[in-house]
Amino acid sequence: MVLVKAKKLSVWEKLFFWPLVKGLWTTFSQIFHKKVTRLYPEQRLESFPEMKGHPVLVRRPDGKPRCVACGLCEFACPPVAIYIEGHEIDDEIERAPKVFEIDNTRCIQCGFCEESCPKEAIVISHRVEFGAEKREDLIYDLETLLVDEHEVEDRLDYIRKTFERWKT
Amino acid sequence: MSTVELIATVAKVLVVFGACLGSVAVLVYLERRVSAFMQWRYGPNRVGPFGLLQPIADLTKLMFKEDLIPREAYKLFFVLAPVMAMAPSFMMMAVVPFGDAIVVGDETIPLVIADVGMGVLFLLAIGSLSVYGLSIAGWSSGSKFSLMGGMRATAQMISYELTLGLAIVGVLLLGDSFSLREIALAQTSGILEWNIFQQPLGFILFLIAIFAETNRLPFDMPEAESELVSGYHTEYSSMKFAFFFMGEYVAMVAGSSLMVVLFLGGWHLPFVSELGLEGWIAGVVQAVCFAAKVFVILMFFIHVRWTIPRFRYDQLMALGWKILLPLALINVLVTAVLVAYGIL
Repeated sequence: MVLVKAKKLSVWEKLFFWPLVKGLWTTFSQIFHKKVTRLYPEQRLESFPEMKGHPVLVRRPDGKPRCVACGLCEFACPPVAIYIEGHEIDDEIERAPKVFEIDNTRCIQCGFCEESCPKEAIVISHRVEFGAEKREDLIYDLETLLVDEHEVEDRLDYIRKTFERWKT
Repeated sequence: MSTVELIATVAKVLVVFGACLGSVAVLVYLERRVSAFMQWRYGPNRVGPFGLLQPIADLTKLMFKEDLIPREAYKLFFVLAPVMAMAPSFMMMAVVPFGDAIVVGDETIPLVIADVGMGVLFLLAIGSLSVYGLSIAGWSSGSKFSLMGGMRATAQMISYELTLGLAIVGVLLLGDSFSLREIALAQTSGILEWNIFQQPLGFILFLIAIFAETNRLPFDMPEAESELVSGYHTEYSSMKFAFFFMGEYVAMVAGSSLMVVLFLGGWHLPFVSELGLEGWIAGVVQAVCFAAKVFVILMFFIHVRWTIPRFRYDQLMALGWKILLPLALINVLVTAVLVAYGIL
């Protein structure tokens, strides 16, 4: 056990006059310091590939969705946020989604749908801003979810490298 | 009272009252901005350019809040208390001179709302009334936190009233008059005539006492936010709370104005006052100098608030009674002796 005795202060030291002045100077000089706040929404966080936002559907070069409405993502989704209705179309790839809804009030942005998709059709994007005024606005339909491939390129790169590791 | 005097008084009342209310808004904004800058963050900067319209947003928000009176509260006193906390501060501003006399036509108008011959006495008396507001607020809320806060506030304010009064006595001995205007006039001959140089200890005592009187850190035990929820104004909401809020800021303004008039030379600035201006231009310049000095002291209030930790209650009382009161008495004694021997 260490016994520490409090130092006896002289009368001048007890006034704490000089420490007060130094303290006041310290606080004053901090006014000119660089601020640590990030001024959102003018300054946003940079996205990086690993960042998980909301899932989106990728288009093929001709504009149609890559999705073939197989239902694997619907099955894999833990909170059952995806609802798919597929139908036959007259095209090289004969099946496409008629209705594809992701309920954002349920989606937890876990990425299971992305992992389960055999066609790289549903990919996690960097969309993280979901403000809406009505609940109905938060159920995203096919049109809202479709994006071009170049928007999610970094994520596609990342998942290919990651899933490579799981291949036996 | 002639017409010119009447119009002048009304104008002065409007100017002073308007300046007080305006300074409340400015203080609300500046406190948040300056404190934020000291903490490496931005304060409110969204509401207008640089967040300048923030006080309006604050006031609107406070007006729209639900105004509730607790079941256990004593209604009459509950409603009266905020007014009693705010009104004395405004009344104190009535005797504060913010300039010399202006000559208009054949009338001399002093730039004080009421040039009372016993200005200092009036100030001390009215200033003590604000204690009632706090203690009644604390008691009438019907809640134990508020009662504790109210008791602490009362004890603190009473203890530091004595030091305040005695510090002022030193100035009275020098100025030889109770009228605030004459005390300020006596300091306008030069910067070395400012009472701060002739009464340095008195100035420091007055400074500390004013911090304690306005319940401002490091003496803000009554509203210690982390200890007593909100102390004596816990149960207040909406406009009543706004009154306490404003009352505190106006008390700060009144205290700073007092400090400027009694110790810092009133409306005198070394180079500006020697320019020899006449008429109403001189009045305006003097008022601006006065306001600038008050502003500097208010900035000091804010600066100290965000630098120094709060006093513990027993430390506070010990400081007031065992250290400041004897020092104030010694100050009066020494000043009286020096004045008697003609040195000061």
